[in-house]
Amino acid sequence: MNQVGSVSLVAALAFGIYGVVAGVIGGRLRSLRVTRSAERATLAFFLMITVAVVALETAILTDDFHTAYVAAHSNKDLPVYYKIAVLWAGQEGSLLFWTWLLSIYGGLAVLINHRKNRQLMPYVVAVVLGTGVFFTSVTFFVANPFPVLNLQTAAGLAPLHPPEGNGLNPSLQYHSMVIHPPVLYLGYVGFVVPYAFAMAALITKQLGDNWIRVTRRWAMVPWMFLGVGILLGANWAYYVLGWGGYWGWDPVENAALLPWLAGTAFLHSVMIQEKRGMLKVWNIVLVMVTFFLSIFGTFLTRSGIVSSVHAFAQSNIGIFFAVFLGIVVFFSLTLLFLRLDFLKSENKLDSVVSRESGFLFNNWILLAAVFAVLWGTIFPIISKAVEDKTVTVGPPYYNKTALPIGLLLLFLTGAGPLLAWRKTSFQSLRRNFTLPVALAVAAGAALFFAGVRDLFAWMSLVLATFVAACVLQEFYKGARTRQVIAGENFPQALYNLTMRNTRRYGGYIIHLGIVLLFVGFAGLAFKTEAKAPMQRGDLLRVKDYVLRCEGITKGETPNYLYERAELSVVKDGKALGTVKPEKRLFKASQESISHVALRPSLAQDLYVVLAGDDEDTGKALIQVFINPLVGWVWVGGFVVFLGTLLAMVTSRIEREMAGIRRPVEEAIEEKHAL
Amino acid sequence: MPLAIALATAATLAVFVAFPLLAPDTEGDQLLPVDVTPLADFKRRRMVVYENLQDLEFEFKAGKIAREDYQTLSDNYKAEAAGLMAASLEAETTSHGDAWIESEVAARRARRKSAPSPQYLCPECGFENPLPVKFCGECGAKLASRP
Amino acid sequence: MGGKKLKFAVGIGIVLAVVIWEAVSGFQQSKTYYFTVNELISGNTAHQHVRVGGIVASDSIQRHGSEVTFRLAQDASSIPVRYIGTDPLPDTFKVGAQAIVEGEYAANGEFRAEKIQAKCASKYQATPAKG
Repeated sequence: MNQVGSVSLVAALAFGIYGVVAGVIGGRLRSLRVTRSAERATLAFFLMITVAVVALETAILTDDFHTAYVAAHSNKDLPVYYKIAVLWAGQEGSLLFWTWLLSIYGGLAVLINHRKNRQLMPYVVAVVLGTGVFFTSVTFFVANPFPVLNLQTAAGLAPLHPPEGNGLNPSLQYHSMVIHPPVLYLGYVGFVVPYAFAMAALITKQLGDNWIRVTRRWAMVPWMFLGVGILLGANWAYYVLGWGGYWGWDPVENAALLPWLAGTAFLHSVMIQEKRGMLKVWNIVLVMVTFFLSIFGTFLTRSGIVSSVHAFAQSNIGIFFAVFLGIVVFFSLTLLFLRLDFLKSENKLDSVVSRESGFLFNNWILLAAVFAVLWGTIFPIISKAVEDKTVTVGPPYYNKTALPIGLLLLFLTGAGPLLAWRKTSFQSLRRNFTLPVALAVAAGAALFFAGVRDLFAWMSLVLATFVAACVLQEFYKGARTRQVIAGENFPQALYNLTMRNTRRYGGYIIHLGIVLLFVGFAGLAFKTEAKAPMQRGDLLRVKDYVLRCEGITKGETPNYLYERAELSVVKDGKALGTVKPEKRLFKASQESISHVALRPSLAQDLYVVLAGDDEDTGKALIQVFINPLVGWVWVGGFVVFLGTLLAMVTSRIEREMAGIRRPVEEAIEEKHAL
Repeated sequence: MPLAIALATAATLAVFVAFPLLAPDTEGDQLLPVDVTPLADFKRRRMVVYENLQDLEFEFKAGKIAREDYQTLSDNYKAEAAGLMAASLEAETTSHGDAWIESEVAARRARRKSAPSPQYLCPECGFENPLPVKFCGECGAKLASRP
Repeated sequence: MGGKKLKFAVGIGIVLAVVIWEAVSGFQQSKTYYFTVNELISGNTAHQHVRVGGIVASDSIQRHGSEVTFRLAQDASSIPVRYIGTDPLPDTFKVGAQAIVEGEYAANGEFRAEKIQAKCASKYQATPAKG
């Protein structure tokens, strides 16, 4: 199996290199034959990487501990779904997995788009496979998952077959941890497709909005995966790490947030180019930044260059990533400067109060966020290089910076869509903003009298009301108008309105999801916690909850030792049953892990952790958090997910537009039959 | 055995990749076709302006835009569309490739079985508008009103 | 035309100024020097808010009430640490784990830690020994 894996990697590398060369030659000569061959190389690359992945998975599933990677990350008794996840549990496997996802994206992009984008395709292939060659090389030469274990004996090397592996890290043995890495990778990797199309458009000087139209969904898909991946990670941190929160501004979390923020800016600004033919340079720059940050994020999490709660050993792959990033920057910027003349704007900004400028503000603020987060994340590296002292910055820096940025973005989320394209007069503004502003003011007063004194939470909730009102008003007014024009009933009108322009109304639903996320974030201000050593009969009061310890039990299973506290919960005089926080010590790895006991509800979560023992009294240390509104973070994330799916559905406008394009394309295809 | 399969897969794929280069080409070496001709680009941009106009109209009817704003913006868009139309006429007279495509498109439309709805098809010049419109996007003639 | 661009630039300028001001103040507030145990012992860093990285020394973890004390070691030297923070200690915190403690190095030679991070969560390691 190990030989199969290595051979496949070599073959994939060969196809990859060939594809890059053939792509460039095919593009330069404008030769259909060479280009087709390059396109086929993408599929061949995908299939060979697939064989390598299958080889590694086979070794994992058959408990082949002769393979060093399997011995290090798996064990016999691991459930099958965790064994599958072993593929991305370690450095080597996760790089192979990354490469595989890249090859899937590349293969699909070629299959779906090659008929309509003949001229772009050779360079798209070259860029995608160029990235693929880099990752395959790192996988093969630096972090190969296929070496086997050997024992040094007097007679030479003897193959070593350990009877059992080291096992998967216990904190990774959690259901959302099985899907969190693949989802996050699907996000990181996917931005290669829009980037490749942008580069191909630059090379071939086809700088209209064709590349943007083609890559619209190719940018939305990774953006969605990245967002979902980030939230799954937050969810894992909340349920497993047991510190009562879900976001700690850890470098690894930031690494995923950065391309997501840049991608958000890109998804917004492309609309200006499509509608108004403006911001052409800006869009190219944004797609470059997004792709760069995706690779940079992978680099941060894999190189161990910054310390983080995720333990990444200092490893030698960092230098390869640094070189690759350098090449990407050099190549992108050179191309951009060579093509600046072809990127002239077709229109100009008419007014400061317009949809365009709303988008521009949104872009600048998102980029400010990118810069702020990036600065905090890499400051330890910079300070080490400049003054030879490592200086780190903690959550207060991020929180203080993110606060104004987040609130401004939230405001624009509601206000932007209400501005008309080109210019909006005061009269139009008054028509659209009267109701949302009135509601927001009312909500502000109500919250103040309800005792909300935290400025951030108050502003978040007020703005959330404003944005929700803005978005719902859009749906309502649109549907009413359709009712009048087309004579449909209200639900029909609402449905047709949405399906006619899925991108706009899907976008609005995403905005509603963002509102819910901010409601969840606002809950952080009302967090309460308490800690006490407890034994049977002890009481602990936290806010309106009373917890009574019913006993502490210690025990043992074949896999681990455990200590479990049983606490009955009473809230406002009503019994809510018992919670059982637990601490497990795994025998094989001698690693311990907490099982948080949670009583989730949309109003507030009761979060109970067994934090340890008091060695003097033998009591168990119980820590309780009351986390209001956390549930809305997960609900909001799900709404964003649904909205993105809706925005990807082909809208009626698109179909109508396709009506004119299809005969032209058919004619072209007929002339150059495949 | 698995190794043999892997090697065979690699070899097959190599043939698959090389095939377009080796296969006898019946029509000689072809060049990559142009994806977006200047004419098609002008036309598409004009369609975008129409789409913007339609949106504007809808938002005006929804009461989102004051009459004054609506008037100026609508005039602006119409001027923009006119400019694009002039540009595509110019491109049409200078480009032969596009003329070929246009004739091909016309022939294809004629052969199509399902006749486009009168909301789309211009009775004057025969242009098939991409959106249901009141006035033809090509020549400006009035179309059959909506049902 | 210039007027519109200027207005836009002023708007963006105000926004960025606020963000930068918040960032700088947050930065001053939370910037923390990072040392290894050896650097901490040899340097004069008393009464400063610092982060220190080292390894949790064997047989040194003691829990009294909600308080935890242990020694953080690097090579042969080590410092006593008293955890005074409120967050529960991470599961990965155990003897032999790499830990980063954040807090103040008091004059009596004891490190008062407000936060403790321990490395483990995933096993991303450099290439294992191959034969």
